[in-house]
Amino acid sequence: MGKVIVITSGKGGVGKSTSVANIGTALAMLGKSVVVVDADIGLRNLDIIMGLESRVVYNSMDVIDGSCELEKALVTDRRVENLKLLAASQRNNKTDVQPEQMKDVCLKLRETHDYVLIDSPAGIEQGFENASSAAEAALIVTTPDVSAVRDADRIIGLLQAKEVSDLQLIINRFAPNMVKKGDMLNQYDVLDVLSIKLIGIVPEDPSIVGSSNRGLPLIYDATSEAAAAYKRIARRLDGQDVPVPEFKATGWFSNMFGKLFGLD
Amino acid sequence: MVENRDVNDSIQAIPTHQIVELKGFRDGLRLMIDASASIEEIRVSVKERMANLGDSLAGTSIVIDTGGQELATPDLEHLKSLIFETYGLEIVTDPESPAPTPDTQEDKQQEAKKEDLKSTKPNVAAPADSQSDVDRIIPTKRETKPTAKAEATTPLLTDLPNREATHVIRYSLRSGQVERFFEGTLILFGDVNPGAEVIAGGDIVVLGRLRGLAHAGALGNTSAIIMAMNLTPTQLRIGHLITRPPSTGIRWSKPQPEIARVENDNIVVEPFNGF
Repeated sequence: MGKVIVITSGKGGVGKSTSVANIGTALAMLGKSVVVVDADIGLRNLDIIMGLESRVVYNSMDVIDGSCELEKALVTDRRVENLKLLAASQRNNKTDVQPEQMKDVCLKLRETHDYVLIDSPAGIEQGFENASSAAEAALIVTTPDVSAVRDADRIIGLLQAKEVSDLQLIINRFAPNMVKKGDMLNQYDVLDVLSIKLIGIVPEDPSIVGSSNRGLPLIYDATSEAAAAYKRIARRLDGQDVPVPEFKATGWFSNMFGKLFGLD
Repeated sequence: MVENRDVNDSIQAIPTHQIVELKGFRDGLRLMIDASASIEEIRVSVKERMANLGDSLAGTSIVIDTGGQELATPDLEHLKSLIFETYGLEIVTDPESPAPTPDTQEDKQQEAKKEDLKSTKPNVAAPADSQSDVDRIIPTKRETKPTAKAEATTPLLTDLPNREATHVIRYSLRSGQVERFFEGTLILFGDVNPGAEVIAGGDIVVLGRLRGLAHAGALGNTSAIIMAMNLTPTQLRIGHLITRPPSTGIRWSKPQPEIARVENDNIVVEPFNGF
């Protein structure tokens, strides 16, 4: 019996799908059986980020309306075979699915997989309701912006009202140099408002754009700090005790050598 | 930095006998009407009473209570539409008493009011025995006149009528969450995050950080106070007055307990050094 975890944020564009793709891949690389579910019905893109778009035949809508068996709708990842994707329907709407239907699907997936990661759409409406219906835990993704943090706070309140109590925070696109200049909230400011457990900080990494466009999760890039951060998050999620490193701003010297972050 | 809207003289000029009385309850309001008055008088009084209450009340439920007296149906309908359309209140049919919970009297002593609540018992809509539970509630006052200037600056909590309905909340409010308590004082053990709101008929005490919106004296009581261990709100409202922090925003001083209250129709915030 696995665990259903929703990845959500309130605000759009903070890196939910990227986080799902990378954490899902990292967990699979740890040997877990993982299924990632795109709950953004009508605006599917988790399959693109994972490079599986051309392999999608059936989606969750087909499973829900009974035209396809659940197992058959799962797309196996190109590189890690214990990672599966359940795609969203692109031609339907969020209101075409009821939270109970989504919940049934997720609970079925939980029986055969260690982790069911649900990629929630932005917003607090029905899409979010659907995505969080089966969740026993949630990863809240935020960037260190006042507005993203405000939305994350709202989402946390809604999840707590649904009695999802296992809530952990991912701070994404963290840029130590901007924090140093005072242009960005630091992790303490964020945690001060949200007061939930931090599961990881993912540093800003420009190569994330290219990796998403190529459909190759960043996690395969051995030199990327963001990839390393996602790997650590996956291990923490899996119960390992991995410390969160302090991300420090870099000076001119290390910049000269193109190093983005002075780790530990 | 303090912008006060609209000095409300109706707060000062209160006739001894009121045709309408507005009271706060745990979840809503009760408008008590002396049905022996003419509909025109009632209408004017309602308008007077409801003036400047602001939008904090919108969506709240309200019971129209004629104290057992009959009010002609067309008049009642007229009143309902006035209240619903003009003030956005949801009218509920009297569920006999949207009553005070029995523990009301025990909850008190946390903190109390400054105002002299000795206010003549509003004899308004209190004819019948059925009203007795209503009478247990101490009205959140608006009769308190901002009297002598000297008094406005002197400690307000000295003369405690020491009984007041108090609602205690033991969790933090996150963005989008609202707590309303029209009956009296609201005490919150936790934070009020940006985007969250606390609204009380009486005082608001936040034993944490107040970073959202707080509206004390929401039924028009400008002698209500707002206090917080760390007062960095997005907006403060007391009675009909609204203020916001200076837009330069960031405060570098160490957080300390602060209290907001009304002085000369302005909301002033100062360090809390005891009453």
